[in-house]
Amino acid sequence: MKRSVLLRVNGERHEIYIKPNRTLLEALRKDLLMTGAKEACGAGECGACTVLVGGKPVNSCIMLAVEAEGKEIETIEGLSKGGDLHPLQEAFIDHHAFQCGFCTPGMIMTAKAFLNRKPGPTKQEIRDAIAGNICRCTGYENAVDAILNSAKEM
Amino acid sequence: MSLLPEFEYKRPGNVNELFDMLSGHDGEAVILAGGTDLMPRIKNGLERPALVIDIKDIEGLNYVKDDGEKVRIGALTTIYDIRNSMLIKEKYPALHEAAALTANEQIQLRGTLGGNVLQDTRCLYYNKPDTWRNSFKRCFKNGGDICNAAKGGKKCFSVYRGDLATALMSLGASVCLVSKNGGREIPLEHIFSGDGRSPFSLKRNDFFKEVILPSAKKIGGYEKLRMRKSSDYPAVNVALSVDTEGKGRLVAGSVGPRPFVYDSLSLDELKHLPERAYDEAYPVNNMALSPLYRKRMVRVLSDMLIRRFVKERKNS
Amino acid sequence: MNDFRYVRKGLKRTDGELIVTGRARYTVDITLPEMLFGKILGSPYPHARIKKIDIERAKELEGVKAVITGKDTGYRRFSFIDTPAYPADQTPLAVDKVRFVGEGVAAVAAISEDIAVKALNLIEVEYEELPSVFDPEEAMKDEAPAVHDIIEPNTATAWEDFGIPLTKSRPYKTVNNISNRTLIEYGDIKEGFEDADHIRQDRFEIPSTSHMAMEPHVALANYQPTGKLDVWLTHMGYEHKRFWLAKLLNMPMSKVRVHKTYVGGTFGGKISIFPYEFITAYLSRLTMRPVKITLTRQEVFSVCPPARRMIVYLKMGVKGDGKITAYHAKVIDDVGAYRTSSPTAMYLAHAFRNPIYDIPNVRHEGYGVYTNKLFTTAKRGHSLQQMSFAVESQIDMICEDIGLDKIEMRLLNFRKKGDVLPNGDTLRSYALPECLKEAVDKIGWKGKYGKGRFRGLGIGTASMFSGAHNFPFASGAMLRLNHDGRIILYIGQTEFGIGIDTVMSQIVAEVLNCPIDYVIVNSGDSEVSPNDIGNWLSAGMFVSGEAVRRAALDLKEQMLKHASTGLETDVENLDMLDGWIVSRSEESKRLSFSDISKYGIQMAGGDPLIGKGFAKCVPEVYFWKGKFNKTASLSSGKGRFTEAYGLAAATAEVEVNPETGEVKIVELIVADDCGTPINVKSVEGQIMSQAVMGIGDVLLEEVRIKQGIVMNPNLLEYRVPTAKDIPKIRSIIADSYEPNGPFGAKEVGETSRAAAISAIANAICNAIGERIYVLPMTSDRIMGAISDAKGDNP
Repeated sequence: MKRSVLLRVNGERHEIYIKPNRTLLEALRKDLLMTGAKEACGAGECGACTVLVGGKPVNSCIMLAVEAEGKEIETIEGLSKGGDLHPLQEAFIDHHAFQCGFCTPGMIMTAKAFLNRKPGPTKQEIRDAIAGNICRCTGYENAVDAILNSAKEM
Repeated sequence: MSLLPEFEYKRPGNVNELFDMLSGHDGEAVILAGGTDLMPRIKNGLERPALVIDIKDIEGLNYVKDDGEKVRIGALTTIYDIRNSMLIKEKYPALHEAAALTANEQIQLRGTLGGNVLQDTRCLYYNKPDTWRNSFKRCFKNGGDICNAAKGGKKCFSVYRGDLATALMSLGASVCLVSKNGGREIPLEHIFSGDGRSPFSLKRNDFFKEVILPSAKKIGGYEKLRMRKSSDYPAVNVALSVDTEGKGRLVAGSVGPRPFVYDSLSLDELKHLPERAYDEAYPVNNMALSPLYRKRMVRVLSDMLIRRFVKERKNS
Repeated sequence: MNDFRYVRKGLKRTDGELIVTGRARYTVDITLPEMLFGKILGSPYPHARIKKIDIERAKELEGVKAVITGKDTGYRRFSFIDTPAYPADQTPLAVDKVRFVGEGVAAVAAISEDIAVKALNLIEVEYEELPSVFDPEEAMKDEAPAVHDIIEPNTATAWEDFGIPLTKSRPYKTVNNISNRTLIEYGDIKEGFEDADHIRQDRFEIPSTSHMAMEPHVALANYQPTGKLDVWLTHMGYEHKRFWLAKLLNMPMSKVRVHKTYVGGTFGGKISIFPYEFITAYLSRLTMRPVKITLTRQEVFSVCPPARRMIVYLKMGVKGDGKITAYHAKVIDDVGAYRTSSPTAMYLAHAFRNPIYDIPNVRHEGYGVYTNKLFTTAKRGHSLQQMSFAVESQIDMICEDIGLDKIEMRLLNFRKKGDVLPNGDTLRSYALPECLKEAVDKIGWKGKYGKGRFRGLGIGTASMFSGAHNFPFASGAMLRLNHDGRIILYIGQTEFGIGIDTVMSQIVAEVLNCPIDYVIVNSGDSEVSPNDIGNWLSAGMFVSGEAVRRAALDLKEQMLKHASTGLETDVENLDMLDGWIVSRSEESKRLSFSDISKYGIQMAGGDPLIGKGFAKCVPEVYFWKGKFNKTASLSSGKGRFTEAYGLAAATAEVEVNPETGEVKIVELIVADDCGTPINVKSVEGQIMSQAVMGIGDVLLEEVRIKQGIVMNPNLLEYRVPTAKDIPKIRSIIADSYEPNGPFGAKEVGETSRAAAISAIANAICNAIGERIYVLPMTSDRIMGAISDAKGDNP
């Protein structure tokens, strides 16, 4: 049975009409046409679908949209303010921390939540935090450097 | 995209509402906490609930508290919070290490104590989409009458691979189960049925509320064999929790449908446990790494833990 | 020459903002009005005859717009390689029988994904199971079930379409399940072995590994009422896709437009046409609506080809001083149900090793063998990692056998700069010895080798081509000067992570000496591209980059000519400087790029100033109306192959836990000879990427197939390295210059992975003192080898 679900995404209210079995990822990509979060595995095994719910990183492909009702949802689309990039976004560009870019939105959101939890991290702590974000292109080191450097900015 | 089949969704505000919802649906309802185990299973068609009950709104289930006699951990406490609890790190090194080694940080932030303990047993031939499983005959766990992993096997060889339960059992943990009729406490090992088809012998209306640990501090640790340094389920996992005399437990996981518990009363007895754990482990070819290797690693990991214990005892 | 403004610099990606804001559009992200969702039904059996397919109930389901089977798509065949000798053997949907688990037998298009899945469940297929064969060496025996019989070419083969005036296509009779053969010989192998002081013979086995690109395979097709087809794909070069779609749909190639999309990783797994791509186009034409098929991750693992599975029998003979006198390789390529690129792979299994060691007597046999398993393809170099693993392992073993230094023996046998290979290719740039010396030096080999229990060191080498004479044979580039002085570059290159827009901008800006943001790149759109070799023949830089450079030179010449007239100064007296053309003698005499554009329009009859450039992979090879200078023959190895080879050497230090067999890579060093690195950061990124993927190949990755079924089609069981699995890796870019490449550049990166794999494998075996002949070297296999040595195993 479809019902009206209210989602607060990047500070905006969206009312969508969905069935309970709609994942948060589907709601974002199909109902709200926000395609930043990606499906690369559909099973919570790769982190490409990571968005923040209540400030915590979640694999949105295994979370129901209705679970996120009433919570603040943050996606990559909401990270830059106006034309200004978030320090993490700048850092990823500066440090060549992406190649194909498919895992990048998920990794940046994971990093954002992490830096909020832990403002002055070590490289090892960063690797721990992004271990759930699979990247097939870069070998991760540049992303670790990018996150380390933006920690100083934030 | 990989899609979920249809179901209803409800969010109870308290445990009584939960019981009403459960009895209303008579077995076709599942409980949703973090969902990291449940959702992939539903996507694979291994679970076909008519109703998903999201218990995250139920208050008072997220805590680590020490009342002097016991330490209690609520079922909705995240694995991340268990990992970061100074109390647990101090008193129960096996549990602290197990939480730190569970999956990866992203999953730890979402997964709960209850969900991690009550995870279903796993098998390479079982945890797959239904279209994939069409290439095989229905196995025991799937309601059929054969085992696809162990040819000619007369029972289900699916494996219990939870990290936390192994550590908790080494600490002599009990669980508090509540139902409409009240609550009861039973040792954690008693909730395991030993049958891969249905690994938990919980009654339908039992709700896992909290884990209770004896207050005494323990020495020990947790060793987890996995191929990557993150994300993987254990290929073998062993937990040790003992007092300074060597009295306590060694628990071996991922080698059967439930963790295997070995009690020890002294350091001498302790030193014989790895051999026993090795003897009793019966891994089959239903995960990566050869069964014989994994059987051997039960002994290797157990030995490692005992060596650590001996060294720590010397230093303290 | 080394005083560049942009070349060799590590410029940030010019399109980085799109990626970090989530605005880069991949085909998975694209939705069109009225779009239908497609799904393909796969066979549950590895080998079976299709007796009946009942689609009536599926068709009746509300929301289903089309249901098709092999009867509808039937006769047309396609393949990676389609030549008169080897006609294409694959159909988009199985027609009379299925040959691997997951092979498509029917497809639906519906208004939602939900309904498409439901419709699939309503299709009833009656199969008659046939005996299957899974082991390639079993498949070659007389009594083995036949996967294929006679493969009829039903239309002209692609080779003939390309205009190669060779023999007419002929049916291919499969005998002993052999899909193709290669035999390359030089010198006298018998004499070579007689001449040897020491001979070794070994067998190596390498399984499939998956590309595991983050973006799953996906296609969106929109067949227009005008008879034009628009497609959005995830791919490595539009030309092949466009050619095959047009051929299979029986429409003109130029009416197929492959749109530009960002691509979420490829690694060789998205080159040739796939069944799901054709099916989306076919369904779109049938329904006259856009149709999109996105494969789930499990489907990608189960039905999209992973890297080739190989068994390598290797025999080498050396003199007492280590000089190789003879080399005999017999390679069995377990192709699976369809041949795809096996002829190429079996040729490259030789051609990629050829530039490394100078061996006078060679016999290389390659056999593609059909089995009832998922078919395979390239992964970052056909046969590159498989052969590097086999050859470098045996080299180490030979050194251990007769007490040779592993570094010196390799240096003794390496080729030299300027060498001409037996097939006629010239090694104009060759820094492999320098690569090895640096890698050995940086890891501290001399001080560490042979010291320490369960610690080991290993070396690996690899080489890779820079483009070959394969359709479409060449690349073109166009540059257009705009009124505002900015330049738009039109190229066909695809963006799947290499930062193509940035690198090509650097080349243009270097030639025109203008600010980098003067260059706007329009890449990857087939309708706007003048011709492009693609990004899967390792020719992206060497050929397309060179085309861009020449287009820039052409535009520069035109601009200088107009400036010369406009400023009344000789061309020799003019310089390009930061978007201006300035007189050398009088600095105030200058015209901006914008002025030149306006001059062309106003004063030169409306000239819009369009620069054109083009480059061919192998200039001297051609064919034209019956005349030809032959390209390399895939079956005999004769003929020119490529203009330049990229090379790499790697060293690795590992520690093995003797109790658990777990491997810790202490350090990995990769030295890559890519000629000039156009964008240093991009090159370092490529090397790193390759090295990490190599670590996965050696320690973790394997597509496990049991009874024809892919057992690990997900990311928990198919393990790719996480951020915590990365050791210390150092990349070195060798000091080298390829005279025929743009600014001296040639192929980069792919060699790094193969070199890393063989180095780590050698290091592990050195650490445990035992040889392992298979990949991946998981901890249970390593413990098995250690226990075998101790006599521990029952």
